[in-house]
Amino acid sequence: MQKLHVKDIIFLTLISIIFGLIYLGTDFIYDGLTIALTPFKLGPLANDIMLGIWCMAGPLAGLIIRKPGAGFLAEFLGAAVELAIGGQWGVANLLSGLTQGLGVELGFALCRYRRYDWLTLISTTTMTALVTFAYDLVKNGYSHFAPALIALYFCVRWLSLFIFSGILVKAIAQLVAKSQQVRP
Amino acid sequence: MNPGVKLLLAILIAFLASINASLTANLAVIIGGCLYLLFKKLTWRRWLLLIFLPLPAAAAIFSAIYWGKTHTSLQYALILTTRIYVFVIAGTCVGVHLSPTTLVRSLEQNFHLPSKYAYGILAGLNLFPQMQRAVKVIRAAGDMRGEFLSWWSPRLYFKACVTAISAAENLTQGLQAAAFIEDQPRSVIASVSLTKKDWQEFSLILASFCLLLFTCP
Repeated sequence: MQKLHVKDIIFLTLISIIFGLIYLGTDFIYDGLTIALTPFKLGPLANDIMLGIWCMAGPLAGLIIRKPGAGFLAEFLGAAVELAIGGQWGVANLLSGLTQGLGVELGFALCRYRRYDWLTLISTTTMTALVTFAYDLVKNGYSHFAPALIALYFCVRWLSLFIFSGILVKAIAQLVAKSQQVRP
Repeated sequence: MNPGVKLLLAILIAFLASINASLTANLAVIIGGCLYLLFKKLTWRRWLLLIFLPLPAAAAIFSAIYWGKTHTSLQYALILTTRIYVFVIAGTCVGVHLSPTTLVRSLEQNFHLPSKYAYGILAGLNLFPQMQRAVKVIRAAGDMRGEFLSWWSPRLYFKACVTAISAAENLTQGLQAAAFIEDQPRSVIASVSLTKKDWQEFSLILASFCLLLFTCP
């Protein structure tokens, strides 16, 4: 199995910087959504709506680099960059980066790093949703919500991940592949 | 304290605080962290960010738990709200007056992070201002062609990826030209010390936190 080389790591760091900046830039959307949803007692739903955007670095890196560890490293470094440039979650960024990266990597591992198509993206979407949701059940107290609310939060999270970390990431990866800048 | 040890301590405290509920332990971290930041002379701007940035998330989780349940739980709502401040204060304590270079060097020298990761990450981080500028240039170039590149536009990310690929290629060549060989032992110019005192402080703080976390409500 191919391992990551220094060129891959530099590229992953650069991708992480770009996404770290975007994550930080979208925090205001999260704040707006949270403020809008709080009167309806659905404030934490903003987290699930935004999660797809916050998990784009991993699947994109995995699709471009196509080596084990790329998805995890990009996701974790993206979270570290967000922390370094003043993200509002503090050290929780790193824990989120770890769980999100783990979910993405599990998605690629389930497809044995052999195929990089829609099935892989559905796999990364589902695994990321499962791993991050399991963590939020404990960390953000989701386990204290009513079962119907838990189901709603999970479905919204999966959908957000599928739209941003699936459809949008696939579109970007196709453009990169067409440009023939990467030789896997 | 050694930067790597400090990071490890912050991650462990955040992880333990997120899996166990104790208001006393959360408040202890917040008070202890604030005292440490006062000692480190944090700027007023950073204090304001520290207080107000996590406020929407803290308010949202408080309202969802306190008013969203069939029977209210003030204690649990307060635990989750203070937990967010634990994360933010722990992160600030690690980052205050610490450069990414020192942290990565510490991880390489003291925690055996392979040099290709250390140098790869440092090389990438050195391009941070250029990447910031590159994203602005891409958007400006799009604007000049009448093409608005929003944050959900695949073309924005595609162009940023192409810039990153090209920069990674150039940096790798630069590293190799400077005789960088992957997986080879490297000498160090600026060494980061890791002493017994660092581990003693680490153990003392972590043990005190665990004691509060697992014994106090």
